[in-house]
Amino acid sequence: MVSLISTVDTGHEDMIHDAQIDFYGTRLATCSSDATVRVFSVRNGSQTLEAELREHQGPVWQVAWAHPMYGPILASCSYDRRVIIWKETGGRWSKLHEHASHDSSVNSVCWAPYELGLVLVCCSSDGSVSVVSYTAAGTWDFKKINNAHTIGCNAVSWAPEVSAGSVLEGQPQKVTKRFVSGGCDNLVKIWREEDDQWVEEAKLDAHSDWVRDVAWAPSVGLKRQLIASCSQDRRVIIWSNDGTGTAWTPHELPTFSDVIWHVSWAVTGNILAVSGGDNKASLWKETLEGKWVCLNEVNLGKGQAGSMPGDAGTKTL
Amino acid sequence: MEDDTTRCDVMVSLPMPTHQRLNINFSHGCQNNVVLHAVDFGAKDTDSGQPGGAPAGGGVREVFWSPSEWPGWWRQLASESAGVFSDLQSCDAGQGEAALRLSLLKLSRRYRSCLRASMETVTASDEEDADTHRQLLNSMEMVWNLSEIVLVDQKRGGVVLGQLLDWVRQHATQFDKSAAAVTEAEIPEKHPDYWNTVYGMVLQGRQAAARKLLRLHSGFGTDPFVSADELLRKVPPLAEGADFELRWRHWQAQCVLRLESGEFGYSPRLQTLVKILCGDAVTFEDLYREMGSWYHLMVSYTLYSRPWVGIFELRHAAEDSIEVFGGPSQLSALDQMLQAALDGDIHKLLKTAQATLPDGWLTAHLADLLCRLPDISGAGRPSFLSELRHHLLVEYGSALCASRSLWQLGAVYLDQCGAQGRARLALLLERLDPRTDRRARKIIQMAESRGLSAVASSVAQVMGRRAMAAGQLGTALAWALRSDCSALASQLADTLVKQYTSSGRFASADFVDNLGSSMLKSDRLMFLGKYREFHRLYEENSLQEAASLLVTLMTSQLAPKYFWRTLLTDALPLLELQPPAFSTAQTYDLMACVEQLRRSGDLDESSEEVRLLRQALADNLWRASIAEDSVAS
Repeated sequence: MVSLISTVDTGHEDMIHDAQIDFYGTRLATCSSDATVRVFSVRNGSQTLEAELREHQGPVWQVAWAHPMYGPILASCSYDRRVIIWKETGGRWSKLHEHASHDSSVNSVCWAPYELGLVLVCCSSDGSVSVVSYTAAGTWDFKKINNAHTIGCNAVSWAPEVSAGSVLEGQPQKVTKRFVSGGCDNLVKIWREEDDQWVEEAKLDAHSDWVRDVAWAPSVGLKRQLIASCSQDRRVIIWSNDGTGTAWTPHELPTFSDVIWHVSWAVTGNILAVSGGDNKASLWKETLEGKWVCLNEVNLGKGQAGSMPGDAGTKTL
Repeated sequence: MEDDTTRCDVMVSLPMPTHQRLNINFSHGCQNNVVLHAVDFGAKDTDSGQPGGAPAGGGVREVFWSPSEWPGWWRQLASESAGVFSDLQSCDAGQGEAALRLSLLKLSRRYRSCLRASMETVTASDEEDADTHRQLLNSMEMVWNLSEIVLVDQKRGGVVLGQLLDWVRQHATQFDKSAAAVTEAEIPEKHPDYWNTVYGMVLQGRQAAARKLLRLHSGFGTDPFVSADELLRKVPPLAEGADFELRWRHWQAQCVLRLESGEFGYSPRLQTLVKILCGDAVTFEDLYREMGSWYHLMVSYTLYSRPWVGIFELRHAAEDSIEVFGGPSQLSALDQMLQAALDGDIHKLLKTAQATLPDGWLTAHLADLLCRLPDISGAGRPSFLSELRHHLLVEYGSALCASRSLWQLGAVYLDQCGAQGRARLALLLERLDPRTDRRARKIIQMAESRGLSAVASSVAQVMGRRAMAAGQLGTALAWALRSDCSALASQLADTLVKQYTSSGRFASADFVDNLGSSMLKSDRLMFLGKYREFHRLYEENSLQEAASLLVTLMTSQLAPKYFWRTLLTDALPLLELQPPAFSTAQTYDLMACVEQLRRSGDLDESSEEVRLLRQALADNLWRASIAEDSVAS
């Protein structure tokens, strides 16, 4: 099924930790242990370096693009305990804001759905999580959740807004902000904003080692919600909530052969990408029967299904 | 449907430098791609507990799992079939069974003609893999055709065989080719393919063609040839009814008689020919290689053994034929699909198709068509089919949305998929880069016509933001209003106001003048509109009204504080008018505003401007009081 591979030679001087394509697929942001963030323009398989952002003072772990309606905005988080928000104006990138309220490496950063405004959440090895928002007055504000996870917090992911087409659209909705976090206490936690404070709404306990990544699936018109979590215990768990109440049911994928570092959902929410320590990355999809299966390669080149049918009436496809 | 939980070696083997524990980290791209980079987890950064990263200078790779642009012939197929698909959706399910089948049959044929049209386009094109693509389309048409014959069309006994015969003739064209070669040879009968071609024509029920070839033989005219020719001539044409069976058995009895009487004793070739007519199983098996496929064997054998049978018996014949070709293990994917179609096993057909074909065209459209069939007698419609159809249409529609030129077709399909389709469409429409105004408007129109107002709004906001960044404030404002986003509108209005403050001119004045009720969208916008009105009034010399408006703007807090200085400067010429434009009350109001400014430290008392202002206010006050006093008295 794969038809085109293009390589981006980033020119980073050290290990690359994250690579994210922007909302429309026109740009790529990469970050590295060389403390820089690089932005490339990618179109039709060709790439050009647009900018090199140097403000961090340590390895940069993740980058995240904000929704284009706020203009070209990028967030990066680093070992230097800071989150930096960058903005491009008139073709030049500059630092828009710096969030430096953590005592230790900031490991993950995730933008909230655009309906909530320009808001992001980040988490740190100091165990805390902070939600940073751009206020109407034009300033930046943040709220910190201390001790979200003991020892450290590794990943955060924001819940999608109520999607179009869902049964709830059109009804007056109190916009509830929620995100999920995963930490070194082996837990996955869901947080909800209530009366201007963040409270722990649910604690999902099924991993036996550090949770390395969490990802909340995009909303696809069903009431059901899905969260994927992966851990050093070599397992990926897909948690589902039926849209009523706060109970989450775990569904484990077959155990992998090594640590799983990263999970991410496709834009349309139906494919989960899992990558980890066993030289493999895989894509998983839910079947009609509700099972999660790994996508197979299309069998066009294998054995019987070798050549295309000839019209000599011979039996090949 | 895939019960396969084996790990897949996804994507491809990428050329990576060898490291001991090299892993792939990836994140999803926009729609049909992922971005991945190699991460070496061997080197752990123990301080932070984070994994190490890719080797220095390591590349990031973008992998696409479907082309973002399909070739011309595929686009043609997609566009034309989308039209058929739409018509199919409006097909009246309430009409009687016979009428419904007829409608579905017509639509099925239209699909097939789309496939054939694409085949012609591919053949005519100069592409490298044109042949592969043509063969693929050919197989698809073959599978579809068989499904149409078996599942959609009304079954009428022996006529099924006639349709299958047509079908085989269309796709097993080897004998046409050899016939051409043989006829052009100097001595046809010496051509190595001569007799195989004759047999082939007979096997395909083309007796007339066979007879023509026999005429080319030097032995034509001799008794055995005349006899064989007569037998071929007298084959009863396929028809329905017990009558046909009778006549046909009578004819075959004749063939058997003549064969056994030794008429063809001296010509083993003719003997073989007549053995075919007699339905001799061994002869058929001997000729299997010439026929080349199990379905050819099945149809040919049935033609000369029991040509009146229906589908059920044919399925047994199919199994037998498959055995001749080596059994089920030798079946290619195409064979499996054909057998599934013959068996009426829709599930297996679609499952195999999905696993083998490079895109979801066939499965999505076929599932959609089959879903509408009235219950097949005795079988009942499979319950899984509607779920499967839904799933396939969603996948196909989403894949279309990822295409640069066909994204609008995607909506046609997703529209048929209920709430999930709608949600998908919303997600996908949002992800389309509104590169130009025209495209943005199209996306917005598509979103709005489906009630996806959030999508429409967000696209308009993106356009507004881009226009703003490009300095096209009027355009930006237009988009902001379209998007119903008051924040953006306010921001723009602010910018316009500040622009005026610095340049003394109004950019986009026309646009602001025609805001009308859109002004209500945001306070700042309202202020902007009113301020323009103030200028208009001033220019028209309606000075009293202009003055009142000015005061209202300040006292109602509609004007932003930073603008008050400008407004007061605007007031200066009005304050010097005789008769006074401002009443005493209004003058006091203005003075109160000045006082507010002073208190908040925004007033530079030492400046000439402020001095003039205070003077003018005082002057106006006493002139106004005198005027009002004289009116009073």
